[in-house]
Amino acid sequence: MTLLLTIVIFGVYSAALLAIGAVGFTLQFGVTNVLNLAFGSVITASIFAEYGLTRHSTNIWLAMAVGAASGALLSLFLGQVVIAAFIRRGATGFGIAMVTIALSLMIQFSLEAIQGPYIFAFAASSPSTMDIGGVILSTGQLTTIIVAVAAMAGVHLLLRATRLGLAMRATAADTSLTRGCGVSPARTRAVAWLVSGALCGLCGVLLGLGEGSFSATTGSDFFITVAAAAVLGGIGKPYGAMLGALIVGITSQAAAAVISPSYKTIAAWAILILVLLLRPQGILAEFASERELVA
Amino acid sequence: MSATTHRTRWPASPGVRLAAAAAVAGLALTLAACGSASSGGTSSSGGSYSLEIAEFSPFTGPNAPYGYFQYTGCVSAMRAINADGGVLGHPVTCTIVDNRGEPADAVPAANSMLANSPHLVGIVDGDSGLLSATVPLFNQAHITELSVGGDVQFDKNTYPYFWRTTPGDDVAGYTLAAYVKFGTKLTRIASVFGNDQAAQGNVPGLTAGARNLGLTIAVNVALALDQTTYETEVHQILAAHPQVIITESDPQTAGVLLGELKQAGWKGPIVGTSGTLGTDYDKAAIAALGQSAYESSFVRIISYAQQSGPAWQTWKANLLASGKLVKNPAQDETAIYAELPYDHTNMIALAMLAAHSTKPAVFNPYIEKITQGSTVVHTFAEGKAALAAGKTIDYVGVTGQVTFDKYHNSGGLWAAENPVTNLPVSLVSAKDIAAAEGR
Repeated sequence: MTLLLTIVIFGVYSAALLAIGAVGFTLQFGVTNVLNLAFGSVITASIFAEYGLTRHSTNIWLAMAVGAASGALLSLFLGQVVIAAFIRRGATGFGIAMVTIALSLMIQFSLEAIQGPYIFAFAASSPSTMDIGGVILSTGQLTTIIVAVAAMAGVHLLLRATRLGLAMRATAADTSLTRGCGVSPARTRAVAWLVSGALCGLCGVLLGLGEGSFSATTGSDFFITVAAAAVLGGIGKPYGAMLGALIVGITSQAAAAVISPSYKTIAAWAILILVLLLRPQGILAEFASERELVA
Repeated sequence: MSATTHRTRWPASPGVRLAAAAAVAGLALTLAACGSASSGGTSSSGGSYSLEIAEFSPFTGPNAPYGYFQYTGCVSAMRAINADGGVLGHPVTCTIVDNRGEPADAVPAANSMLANSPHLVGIVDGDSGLLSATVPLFNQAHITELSVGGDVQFDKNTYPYFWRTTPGDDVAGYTLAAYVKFGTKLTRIASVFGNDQAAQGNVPGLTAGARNLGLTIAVNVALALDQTTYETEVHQILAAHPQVIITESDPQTAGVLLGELKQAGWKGPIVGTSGTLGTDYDKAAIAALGQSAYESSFVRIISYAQQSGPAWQTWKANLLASGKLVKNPAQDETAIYAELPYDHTNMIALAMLAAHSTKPAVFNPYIEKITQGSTVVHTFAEGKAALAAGKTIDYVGVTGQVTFDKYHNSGGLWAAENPVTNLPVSLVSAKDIAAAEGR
């Protein structure tokens, strides 16, 4: 029973981290149609920014504020300045994806060059814990779950209860139509980059604080699972990303317990492949339509 | 030995890096082709040129610190050798060749190095996971290689140019069992290793050693690396009621695992392998456990190197005098993975002197001969003087006596070290290891 509870609770904890990142990743893709493979490096950069600007603070609220702000600004810069320049010059979707890989490597190697190829650690602390049916959960882990739920609720409200959210959904559906409806696609895309970056930064600092240490490759390592959750749910679909994160999180914990910890990652990817075989568009997405890239 | 070993953990690498493998390989190639960080020495113009010793290691990526350990050792030896007039009229230079620790990058980096380094005389490396991919290349090129890579396939190595002065990872496993039996008197072990090749190399020896010594492996967990939580694994570990946890993984995995072990209430001893060596591991572990708990509950079983005597004094003096070539040299005074390449570089230089040749095909057999002579020497200068006097030498460097078997492997002493001070808290005797091996 305790094992089952462990699987559920820590599956949810893993899903919480994944969901914050996956929703940010997929939201931006849904609105801009840009496959941003630099997302993982923005996660890393946000952790470094928090670590440097707050002098290694482990205050989770300060960390989240600084991480989200750093991620938002960097994401906005990459999307609206760097990537937009390529789109204006007629770059294709594949070309843009390659540009984001280049940006990812540039960020990663720049951090490595400036900071050194080392592990950076937050100061050791003894967080308070709580016992839930024999499973010990730290306050940091509980906070991560609560923050993820709040962030998901925030994204839901943004998309469903605001004009901006309506504009984002409209831009995601058909950019050309929105122009005729008084919606500024450019402004909407800028907000998408900003919100995506903020979630990315939030994910980064919660990841860094949760693991206690990080390096220049932490975000890139984590990104592949984030992308898997987003694709599983249906790329471009925030609610799908939430569901995808939950499936990946629970599956990996269950595989560790039932089969072997070595099969943790394999099981998560096996689920992804199986789902994509049955529903190539992901769990919640309609069939994807070809959309133009617009700066 | 698996110290450099968590380099092999990269199957869990990010998709971005997978997608950009060509770009990364290009970087490695560029570094290799440029000999990106040659350290001193002269060019090959005219009659005098530098003899290159390549540090074939990761210098970028998560395991880059291990490359810098290697480089630190080499440049310290280089300083001593060149201060004593070099080798047969040539200065020695240490060259960085970045292999990123992955076969996909290491093979092109190796080929580029071999094609672009006309004065390459030796290779110093230490990556368990790369040996099977790169040793054949170096042998085909007839370049002498001194390694600390623990790949168990090389326990019965047949490549003539490959030499290893630390035992294979399986021997490290037997040593872990011997330490638990004779050093702690505990009997129930949790074997918790990363699922990479290098860390897993310890498991067969540990399992067999435990069986031979009447110990119980209460649980054997292979960790998928770099996960955000290991709580399910921690639950399994604690449910098996072990008395001691034996572990090796990369620093970030360790940080999460150790933190969650502490969170779940584990207060027992933890034994690390040589793969837990390094400031990165220390930082992650201290962040997870706190310094005092790390120091009191964790020991590291590792090849024992001297911390006194003439060999160590000379090593220390040259390390500290390395100037800008080594960042924070004082922190590496007792770092075995800097000391080993220091000895390796000295051995290559002394072999060339003993053979009166800088050609690897000629001096390669002398790698063994300089450890079998009648005059014990502890430094390059002593060795050079003895050889000049017509004596045969037995080089006993900072990492101790080297005795190669027919597979070009040499074991060594082992100790349980305090992870913070790197000072031995107890030695693991050859007799105890033999008992674990069932001999």
